[in-house]
Amino acid sequence: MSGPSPMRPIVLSAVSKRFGGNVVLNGLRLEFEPGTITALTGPNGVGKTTVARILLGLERPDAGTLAGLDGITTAAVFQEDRLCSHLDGLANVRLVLAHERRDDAASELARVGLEGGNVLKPVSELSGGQRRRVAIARALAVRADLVILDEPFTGLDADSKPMVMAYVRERLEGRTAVLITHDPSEAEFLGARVVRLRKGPGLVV
Amino acid sequence: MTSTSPDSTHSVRQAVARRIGAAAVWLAVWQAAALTVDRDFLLASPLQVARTLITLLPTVDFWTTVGWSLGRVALGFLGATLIGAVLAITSTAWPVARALWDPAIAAIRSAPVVSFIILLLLWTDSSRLSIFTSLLMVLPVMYTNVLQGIEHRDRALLEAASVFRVPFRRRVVAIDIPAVVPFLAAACRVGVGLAWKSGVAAEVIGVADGSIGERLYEAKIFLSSTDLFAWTIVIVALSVACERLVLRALRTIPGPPAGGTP
Repeated sequence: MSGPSPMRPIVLSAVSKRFGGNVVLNGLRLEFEPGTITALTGPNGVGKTTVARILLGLERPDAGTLAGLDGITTAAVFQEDRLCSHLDGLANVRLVLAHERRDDAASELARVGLEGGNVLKPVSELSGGQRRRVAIARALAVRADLVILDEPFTGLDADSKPMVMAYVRERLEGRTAVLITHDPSEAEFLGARVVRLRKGPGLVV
Repeated sequence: MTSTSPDSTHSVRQAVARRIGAAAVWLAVWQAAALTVDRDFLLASPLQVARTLITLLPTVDFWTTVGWSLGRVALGFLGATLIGAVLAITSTAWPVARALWDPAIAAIRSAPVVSFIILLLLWTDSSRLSIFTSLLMVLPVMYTNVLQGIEHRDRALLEAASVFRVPFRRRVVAIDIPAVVPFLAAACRVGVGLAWKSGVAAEVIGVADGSIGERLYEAKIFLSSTDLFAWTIVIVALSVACERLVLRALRTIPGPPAGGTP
């Protein structure tokens, strides 16, 4: 099941962003080709999450232009799980699905190894790794044009990580996605183009 | 299946025993004071009050009086909850609305209840007085708490909802209401008691026909502290029962425990 990809590339041109006196992005230019996965890497504080937030429409750049983002649908695995803690895993996934697809939530959760009683427990009663899997299933169950994955595999145990990574690779096939990671093997596994951000103007590909 | 450990059963029994013990001590103090004063009209004894209550309880007049006051206080409380919620929502949506409501709510909060009662007596008859008085006294509590609840919604969750384009109704049910409920519960805990106190005060001042306030007024006229204590106990019992009912209703809403501290 691959979702629709935007027809046009997403382009960030000369994008700058500062928070108070801290310049996070300075004249950044980045292009995301439709149907491809781009991995953003680089040291902490270089602006990877800020780029993701700009792509999601959660931040506005102070300068520069954005193209290809108008009207597209988005989904994300945030650094934090951002689940409704009082709802169960099933309800968390159903919450973001279109009405006609709400029955798909259970099968998506099963794909990340959550079945039976676990999907019906409030997520506050799940382990950190199980909550992470709910967050991943939620993001990938949606047929979004652009999927952002901000360190999605953090907190997964060694047993479930390969299964979840395989699920992510399958679900991202043919979709436009941005992976933020410190682990080059994750980018390689997903077949992502690696973009290394650095402090100051520009970037290294 | 839930099971209760012997330790928890023991601690529950201890808590119950402590409460009964405390109540017995205060009843003994009351009885001793009544014996010392030895004037029924000044301070009735717990036994006299209990006898009056037992006499009152089976009468139709008692339940009619309770129903009359309960209906009006409940109307005032529910009106305050509804209006407070609407004002808080508009305050969150539009800064202009907040600039308008905040000083008005602050004025209502600070003004003495008697001022409102006298003013309302000029505008309306005494039968409706307790509705509006309860409403005005509870309104600031509801407005402030609902506003706080809205402002304390999880921003990260709201961002996630906007990223996933969660429809408005689903977002309200899954994120907004669960965030507000603990604050609403705290407001209800204060508000129910406030509604009863101010409502009955209004009934006493307005001598509302057929109300608990009228019974209290008669107790004063006839110098009957027995009736005064009996009706006061009825008011306290009604207030506690209403509070529990409201909190139980709030607990049916999914989300963080409604009884918890926000």
